[in-house]
Amino acid sequence: MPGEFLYNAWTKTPGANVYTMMTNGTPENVHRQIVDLLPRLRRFARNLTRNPHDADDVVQIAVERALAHLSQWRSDSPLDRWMYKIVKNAWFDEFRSRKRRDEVFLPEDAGDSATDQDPGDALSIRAAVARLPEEQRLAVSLVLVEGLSYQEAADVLEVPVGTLTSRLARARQALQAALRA
Amino acid sequence: MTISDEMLMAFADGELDAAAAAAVEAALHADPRLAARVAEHQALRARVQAAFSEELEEPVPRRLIDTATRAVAATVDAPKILPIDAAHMRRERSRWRVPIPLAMAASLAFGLTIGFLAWHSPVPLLGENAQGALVADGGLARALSDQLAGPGGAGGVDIGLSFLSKSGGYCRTFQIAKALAPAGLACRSGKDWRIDVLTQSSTGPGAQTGYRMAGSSLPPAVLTAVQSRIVDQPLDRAGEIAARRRAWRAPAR
Repeated sequence: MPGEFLYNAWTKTPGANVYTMMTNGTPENVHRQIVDLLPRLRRFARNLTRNPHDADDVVQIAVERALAHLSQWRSDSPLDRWMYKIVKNAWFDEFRSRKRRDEVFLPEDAGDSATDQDPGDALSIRAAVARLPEEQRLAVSLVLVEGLSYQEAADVLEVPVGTLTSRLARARQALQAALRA
Repeated sequence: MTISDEMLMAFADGELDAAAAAAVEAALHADPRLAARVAEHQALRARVQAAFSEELEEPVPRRLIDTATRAVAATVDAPKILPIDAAHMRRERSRWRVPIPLAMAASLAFGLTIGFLAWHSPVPLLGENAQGALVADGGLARALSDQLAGPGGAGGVDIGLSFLSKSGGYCRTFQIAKALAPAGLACRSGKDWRIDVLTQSSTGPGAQTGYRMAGSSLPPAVLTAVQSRIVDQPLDRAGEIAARRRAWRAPAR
């Protein structure tokens, strides 16, 4: 009976998720988790590269690398930190050398922001963050924007937590000075 | 104990251990300037966070979603998709190396599909139109015509993405929150919703559905079908409402 055939065809692996069936043991749903992370990875990459086109290129390379090296991801550790690190390394390895440094990305339409924050405030903060030295900018991006703990951010950047903390402190002083001016 | 600005910052971020936090708190009581400094750190954090919040609302470019799902999509094989169109049928046939007449194969597929959904649904969700094409019926047809993208209403049908296809008409992905949670892609054809793809959901019943922009809960087979048909981005809410007002008639080109 046709109905039975279909049912059996779909339940040959009882309880198995389609992803698991098709990716030879890839941690279940990891592709979907990566898709869900894309907005945050893009945001991090923009703060990293200060250019939206580079940011998307870097995210694309990072996702390709991540999928090619999924076995290196320990599924008990959060996927997002692992992905942030891959994004950072992709930028350092492949892009930074051939980069136009001077383009600083500023949003064209900050006025559409869903928050009730004054758009001018958002613009001046983004501009101030973009002008920070790279290592400070990354500390701000990971801790203040992405919400990682100091230790998590230090792990992503592969520096001691004390180094991360002092970069973050200097970054905040610079931002406060810039925003006060 | 001297309290450095770095400590105040770490205190503001909730990064100090209990002993250090207690020391800072005691210092804050003693010196209002330190308390003001902590408030400054917290205010800056909130402002920076808010200044970068809008990025998360932006639609993600399709090429990135493609990249993230490609490894899966590449391995999607025919048996996991119910092939509906003739091209799929021919591939199926050659795979089997059995010369099944096309019409017979097609009607077998319809039988499977309709039988399956009839079996799992109290009311029929699929039917055939006058031309013999597989179309949405009952609650599925109503959901496709009336619901906006998002988790479904009482009918138990979730609509995922709505978009304009390369052939000029509207298509919508759907997921039926029952049994094996079949999901698929339906495209508007005249007054019918023609079923182009029907497959098992990747998430199963009760799992997260209706993720509008990324379509992340869609089975790879459906996602692949969407990617091969979509023009531009999926419709946003306003676009869906406008399309629904026109009864999903294809816009003039």
